[in-house]
Amino acid sequence: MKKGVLLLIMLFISALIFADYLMAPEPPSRTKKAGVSFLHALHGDSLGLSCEMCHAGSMVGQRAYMPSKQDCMDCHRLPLTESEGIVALDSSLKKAPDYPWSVKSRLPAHVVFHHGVHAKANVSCEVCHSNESDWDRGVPPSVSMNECLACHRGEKGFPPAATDCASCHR
Amino acid sequence: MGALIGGLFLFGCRKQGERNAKAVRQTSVREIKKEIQMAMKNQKPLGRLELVPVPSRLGAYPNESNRFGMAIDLDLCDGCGECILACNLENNIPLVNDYQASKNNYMHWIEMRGNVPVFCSHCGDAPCEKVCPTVAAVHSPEGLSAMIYARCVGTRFCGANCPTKVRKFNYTDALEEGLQYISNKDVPIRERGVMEKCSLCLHRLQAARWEAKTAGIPWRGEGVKTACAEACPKGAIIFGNWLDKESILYREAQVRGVYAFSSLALFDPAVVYFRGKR
Repeated sequence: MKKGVLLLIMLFISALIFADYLMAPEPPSRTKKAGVSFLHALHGDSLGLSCEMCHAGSMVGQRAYMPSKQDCMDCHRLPLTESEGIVALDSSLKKAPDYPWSVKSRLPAHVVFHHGVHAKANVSCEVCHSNESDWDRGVPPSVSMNECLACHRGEKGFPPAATDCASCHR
Repeated sequence: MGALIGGLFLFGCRKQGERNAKAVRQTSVREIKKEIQMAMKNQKPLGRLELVPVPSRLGAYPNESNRFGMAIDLDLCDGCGECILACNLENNIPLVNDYQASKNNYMHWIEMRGNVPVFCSHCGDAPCEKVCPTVAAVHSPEGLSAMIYARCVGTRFCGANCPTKVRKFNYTDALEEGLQYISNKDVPIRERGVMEKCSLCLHRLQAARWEAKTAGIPWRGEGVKTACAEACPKGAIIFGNWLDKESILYREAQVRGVYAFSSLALFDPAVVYFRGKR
């Protein structure tokens, strides 16, 4: 008898957990998919374009912005290669909205980060944003406060920087 | 048993991120102005002011070249309250509900006492910081008594230990009660149970410091004015760097009488009052 009640409770709990799993809303997507397949690997290392060519503000501003379609078209209005893929790319670019990509910052409101200050200190993008193949696979950058602090204390090969709270928090 | 099942049921039905998705009712500038008028009708008495030395370098940071502060010229200030409105809009300060209003508890970081604007003095030896169990109240090398909201658990010890009682506690969730007016995206919204106070417009200081650092030039507070100093129609609020001998704040302090509240005169305040000649 007791075993039966216990089993019933267990079943109830698992049903609830299952219901939670079913009802949980999908995690909000961080980047808007544009329908334009873009590969960092094709533009970065192989062409030698630097990040700030497309991500305006990444060397001087607080935020690094996503490129507009116009930025793509500055180069892509000419057929750049003989490859067959370029026809498909041109048609998908034609259909794309004016701002094909947007990204929502994952920084909480009480944390501030300025790209320009870090670029000025010779911290390259890859230090926090991993590498090209990760971006193309859609792996978002993940930086914890511990990593920020380790670098600011001078433990990652850069000269020590401010470690007082009010420098990065507000 | 019933409570257990009830709790489990809640667990099964929780919805994440609903609060952000829901459109929150915002208040209006008109309502904020009305609340400021109410607060100014019910002023607390001004404490006793006494002469203090000109704020100088903090003992804990002997190599720091900046110590930011302010002075309010009492010969010019007529207590119009424009600074309160500017501060409220700059820092997304919420309205309070009727119960708090009936107790004369407003969230305004600047409050008028005897027609004199009173707010955090950013004491160099701040009594509030010493009693915070979670180190949410900390001093920055540049002389700001900063609040790290994410660390605050709301013990209110700091508020109790502040001699001028200028720290404000979020008793309610302003966003949920529709009392929030979001006018500045650069300043985070404080949650219920978090202490807040004048930050000396920390976000403006940070932005100006970034710009100077990106350009690679030394920075001693140029190009920054707090929201209240900017809004004062009489120009009675002077923001500056106490260690910069070129700043107006420092030069004025040499010829004026420098006053602070007697209750915190010993704690080395960075926000002082000017009155008369030295």
